[in-house]
Amino acid sequence: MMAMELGLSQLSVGLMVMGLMLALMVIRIPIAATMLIPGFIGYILLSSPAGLMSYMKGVAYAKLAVYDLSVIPLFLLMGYFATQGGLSRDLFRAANALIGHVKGGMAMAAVLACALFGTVCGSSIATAATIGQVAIPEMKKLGYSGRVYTATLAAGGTLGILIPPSVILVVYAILTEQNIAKLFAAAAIPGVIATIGYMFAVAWIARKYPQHVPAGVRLSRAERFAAYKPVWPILIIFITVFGGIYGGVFTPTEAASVGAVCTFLVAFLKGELKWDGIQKSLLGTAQNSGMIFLIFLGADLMNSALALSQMPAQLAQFVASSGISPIAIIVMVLVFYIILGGVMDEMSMILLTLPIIFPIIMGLDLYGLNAEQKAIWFGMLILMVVQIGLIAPPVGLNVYVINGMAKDVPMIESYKGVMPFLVTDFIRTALLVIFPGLCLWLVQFVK
Amino acid sequence: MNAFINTVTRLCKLFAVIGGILLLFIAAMTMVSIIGRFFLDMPIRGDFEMTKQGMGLVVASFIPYCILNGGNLIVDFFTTKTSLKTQRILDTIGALATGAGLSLFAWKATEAIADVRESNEVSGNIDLPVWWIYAGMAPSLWLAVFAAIVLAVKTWRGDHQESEAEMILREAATVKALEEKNMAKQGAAS
Repeated sequence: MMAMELGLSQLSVGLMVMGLMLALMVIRIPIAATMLIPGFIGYILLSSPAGLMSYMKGVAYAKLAVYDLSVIPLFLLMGYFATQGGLSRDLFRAANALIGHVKGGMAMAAVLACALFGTVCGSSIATAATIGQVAIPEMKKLGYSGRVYTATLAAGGTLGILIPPSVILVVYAILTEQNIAKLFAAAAIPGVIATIGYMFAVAWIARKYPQHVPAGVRLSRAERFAAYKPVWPILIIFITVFGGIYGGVFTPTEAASVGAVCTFLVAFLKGELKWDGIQKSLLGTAQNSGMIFLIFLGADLMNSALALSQMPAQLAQFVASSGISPIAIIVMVLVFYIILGGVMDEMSMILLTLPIIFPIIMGLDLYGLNAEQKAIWFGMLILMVVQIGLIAPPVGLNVYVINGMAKDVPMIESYKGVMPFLVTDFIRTALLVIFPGLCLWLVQFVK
Repeated sequence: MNAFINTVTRLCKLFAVIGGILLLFIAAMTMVSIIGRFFLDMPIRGDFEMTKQGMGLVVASFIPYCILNGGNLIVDFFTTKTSLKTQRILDTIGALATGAGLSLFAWKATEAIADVRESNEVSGNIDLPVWWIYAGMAPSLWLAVFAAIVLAVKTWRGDHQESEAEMILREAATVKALEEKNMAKQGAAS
């Protein structure tokens, strides 16, 4: 081992590697490279140059030609087909027909449409932007204030990653070697709670600031039924895909394949998906999965180096024997994630920190849960924090994107509008911390 | 130089689209296999393997396009206040660093082709030679290195075309900065 000859302990190499990574990050080096380069150095120090070279030979194949990984591009593709195929308009109209008649009904319909779109799309920004394209003009026309419609869509979009399929959850499952189907099942109840919570937030805004929220519009019976009709293919896709996963008929990859192909067919048969849209979907999938896998490769090298340094294991042991209450540690980790989410992209944050944080969590005694339950529960908590990070100031990516789409709404207004939604996010997260059963209950039914 | 940039740009897009079509094809094959298994008790032989091996090709072919479009995320929180020139220099270094890291992957994956071929490694059920996949991934990895070089050149020249997401973020950031200025002014006035 080279580090020994240089008189360095394993732990000090681990710390050095981490420090170098953070330093490179501060000076705008792309995240994949900030992990690769210190990873190379750490690996050489803790093993040998020859060791690194032989590791590098097989790593691209070993890390990319993986059956489970296919879920990520397939679900991304499904989301793009749904986006390009105009499914969002139908969903919004149907949701509006259902609840548009109450005060603030159209905003609630936008939340519901986001939740429904979340069943075919695993990305939060895509959900916010896609539903936003149809919902923003209509909400504007009806007289909603900019504060309310930007906030509703920015928050509603986060349902895209909470309601399965969820790209972040798949990444978490792969990194921590958990069952994707069980994680998806665990997200179902929190997803419903989140949707209801956001509707309550809209109702509260409508009561507290009636000048921002117009009254609802009641449609005739015939109009309502006409609006529901185009939505059934989406519901069938959702039921097939997730019924199949939960019932043990499909693997998640198979479900994602079925979802992608069926969404493609529905969008194509509707006549809205042309070659241009198909190309956009393929390139968008390439861009987004490329981004995830690039960070994946970097994170893998970094983690191999860190594992050699034994830093994560030692840190986990240290925390477990520190005498701090396990729940307090969970809360500290969540607060740390919320702060970190203000500085960096959520996906990179997870890939970067999980190899260190996850062993710590697994080393804690939490309500006497077993290892799998702990892993699933912590995955849900991370999902909640990521959701918060996407809309909380200073850098809520969803708020940026929706605010950018709306053009004439001051950013500060959007952040003001987001606050009631954030409150429900915090309440939901607290509930999940206190009652792990909220996410774990459904898991037992997964075959 | 411009011919090089154009060629790499076109190849990146081509690789991404081919990879995407392959992905769609894998999805369709999987669906046919499920239908076969469910109704006729006759799945496509080796469907899991083909998905696994195909994924290597698909994902590798996506990476060059992603790099070329600056899809390689950065943390810009600490440098938003620095001059555009500084940012440009740092981003050029960043692109080169990515290229350097990737070149090690590309080089070693290329070397591995011959090794794996000699070892006659085949995948489980359908005897698919694994070296084919190595050989299929290597060009994508090299293209990714070239994409990083092109990105570095374009960033240095200042004509890197930003992606849609980058544009939205930049516009939003400008608006936000203006607002903060206005608010500070109002604060000073009152």
